[in-house]
Amino acid sequence: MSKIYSAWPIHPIPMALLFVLLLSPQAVLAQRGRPTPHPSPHLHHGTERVIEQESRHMERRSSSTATDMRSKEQDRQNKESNAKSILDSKAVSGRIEQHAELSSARAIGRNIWLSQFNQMQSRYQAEKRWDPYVRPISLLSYEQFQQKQFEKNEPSVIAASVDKESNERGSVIFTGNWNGGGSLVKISHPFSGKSYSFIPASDVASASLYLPYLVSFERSSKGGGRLTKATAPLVAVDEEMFAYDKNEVTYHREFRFDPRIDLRSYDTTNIEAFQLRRIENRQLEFVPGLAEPATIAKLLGCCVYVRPPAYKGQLVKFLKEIRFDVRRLSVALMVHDSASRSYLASDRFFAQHGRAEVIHRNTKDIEPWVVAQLKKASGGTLLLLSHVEGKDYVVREANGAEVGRISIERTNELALLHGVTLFNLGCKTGAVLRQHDGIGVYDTFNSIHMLKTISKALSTGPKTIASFLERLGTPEARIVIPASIMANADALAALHRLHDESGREIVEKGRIRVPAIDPIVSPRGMTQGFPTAMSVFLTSRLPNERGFFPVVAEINIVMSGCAVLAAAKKLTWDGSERLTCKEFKAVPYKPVVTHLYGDLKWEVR
Amino acid sequence: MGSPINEADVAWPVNETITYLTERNPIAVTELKEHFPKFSSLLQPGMTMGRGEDESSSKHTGKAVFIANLLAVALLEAESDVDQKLKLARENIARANKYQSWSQYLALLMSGTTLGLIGFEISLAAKITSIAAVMGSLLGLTSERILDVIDPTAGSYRSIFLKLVGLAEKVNALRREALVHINFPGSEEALAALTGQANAVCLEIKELGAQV
Repeated sequence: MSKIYSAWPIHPIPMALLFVLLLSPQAVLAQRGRPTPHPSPHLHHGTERVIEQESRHMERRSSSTATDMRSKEQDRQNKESNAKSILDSKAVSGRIEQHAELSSARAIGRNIWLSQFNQMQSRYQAEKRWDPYVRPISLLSYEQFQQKQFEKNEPSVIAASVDKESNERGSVIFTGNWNGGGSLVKISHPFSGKSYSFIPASDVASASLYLPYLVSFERSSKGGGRLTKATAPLVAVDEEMFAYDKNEVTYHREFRFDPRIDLRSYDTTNIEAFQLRRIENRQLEFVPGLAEPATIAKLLGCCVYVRPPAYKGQLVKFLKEIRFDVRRLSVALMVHDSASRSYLASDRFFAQHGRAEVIHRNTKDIEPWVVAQLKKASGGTLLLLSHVEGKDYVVREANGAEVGRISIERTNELALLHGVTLFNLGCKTGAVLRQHDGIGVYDTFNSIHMLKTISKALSTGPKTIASFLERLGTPEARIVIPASIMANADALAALHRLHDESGREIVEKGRIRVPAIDPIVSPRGMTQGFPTAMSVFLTSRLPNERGFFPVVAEINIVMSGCAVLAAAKKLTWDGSERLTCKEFKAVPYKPVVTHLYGDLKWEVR
Repeated sequence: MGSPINEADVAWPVNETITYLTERNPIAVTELKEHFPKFSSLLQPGMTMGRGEDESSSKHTGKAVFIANLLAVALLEAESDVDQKLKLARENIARANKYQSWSQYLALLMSGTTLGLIGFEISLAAKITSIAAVMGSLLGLTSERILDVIDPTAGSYRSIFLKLVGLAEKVNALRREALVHINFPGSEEALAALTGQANAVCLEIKELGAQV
């Protein structure tokens, strides 16, 4: 040891002291004092973001004097509480649109968008045009409703708002289609305090039904309950969403009544999703928990389903018309499984075309690998096979040790960013993916079964997407596709190709209004050929002479509402209130411009 | 190296075990399917691409028994496989030893011949035989190490043999543990850990088998 000491240029004792100093409490404290990272990217649209923006804004404007500092601090606190109260009072804290509204309203001192849309709505009503906030429903009696429920094997979903005082009575909302579309809001449950995502009543884009209904019920200790008595004589039910015949074909819609009910005023506070169960003596029992979308309709062949069912007819026609390019398809296998690797190596199709990528055993970081696959498949289709646990894709070693994971939601967001149509080929991804999020699988399946199916489907050289899907779906692994299959980030990418007369691109879009058209009911004034279209309203950033920010265009994008909704989450406001969407790539889609105001021109690539 | 298995999120990765058993003994797989028809869908090569949400410990004693049986059968098969591979490895080592001995005899013969040739003053032939003798000796002495340098993944016969011995011990221990789980079902975490080890062992045997 003495030889080692003598070989050191510095005596070891001072070195040890230096080491102790480095690990001193100050150093530790300095480490602790680092700013913590943002807890979750999903909170970007939440209250935190609003408050954060507000804080930053206030910081910039704060003066140097102590008095000003105090007043500014008080003002900031007031604004924070105001922001919270506004969000709480609206009970739609998760709504993207309202966040955009609030942030933009703060920037210019008033809520421009609400006034803008109120104005637009009244104009629509005056002109007897279709009103995006109001939708027709049909009425059924409570007994009829129950009967229809019992005819179905799958449980439906209900949401209940419970009277906090009595705990015995409350309004119940029945819905046959959980993820009807529109924006999601977060709602806390009065008993458990848990929060759930829900589609607010005011966003009736494609939501099947949200109607208050007074009932009595017995609450169970588990948080659920049993409906005992219906105190209201009628329950309003969207017939389309519940009506099935034995062949799983949705009924043709016929309105016996066409009442127009404005649901905007309905308070969605304290709503929880329940699964509905049949119990004895024809009572309805509900248990807490988010139910997966139960209403899916058979689309093609044996095993391709679509949700919501009302999209079915149009989508079948659409899919049969869309050409499928096998050359732009690739397969990524994200599992460590020797049998699957061996199969890929031995399969004639995969061996010949070499389109399958397999995650390497040494790969430790999953997300970069996924991104690399998506980049390769950019503009095309990627079939991603991976093991699913909960809501994540998980890669494990042979001994079960976790190598890494990436959430299914994040993967689909990345696919959107890279303009890739992603097939989420993991067990029950259809349940994890919400209605508009992506293509998934309904069942639990084996990797080799899926690889064989893919090989077989691609070997036949399908010419259309419909024929590919028909071959891809098997009884063991039913494919569930959202109606947005044709949608992609391209919808948004193309929006910035709106030009004025001088050829200048109008990218200063004020607002994109997503949930505008009910996919089930063709809006009045629209061609029947586009019942599944959605509206995107583009608003100028410059106010007109009356101080309003005029709508410059209304664009209906066939089958791409979901993409816009998903893409809208990615939009960011910078100082100039310019929406950024450069990251989205373009692939073909079909926009239908219904109204262009002024001298604007729409250009389609 | 990955993160350790989270006890709250226990998985039963049986894919490598099933693949191994299917390749080695398909009849045993058929029998398992007959005994456990409820889980027959699991008994096919490849990976189940997810886990059901209802796989909690209390609800899956049936599945636990099935898994323990599967492991016991697969590990029994692995034991016999490793034994066979050990036998092969022993033969390989014996063959190598034989060649080593022959090379040494050859070296000895060549050395003797060299000495004789030097005695008769035949220098060119003596040089050639002496070189041959030196090469033979070197080859005989360092054959194992040379093999390691040429193909480090393959390893020498002796290192493969040692790995197989270690695997045989491990497989035996795991099989006994699986038998205990059949008769006295343990915790889900213990079974999951056992399953993971069995999976890894099956894969290792499969990969090592190709080198023997």
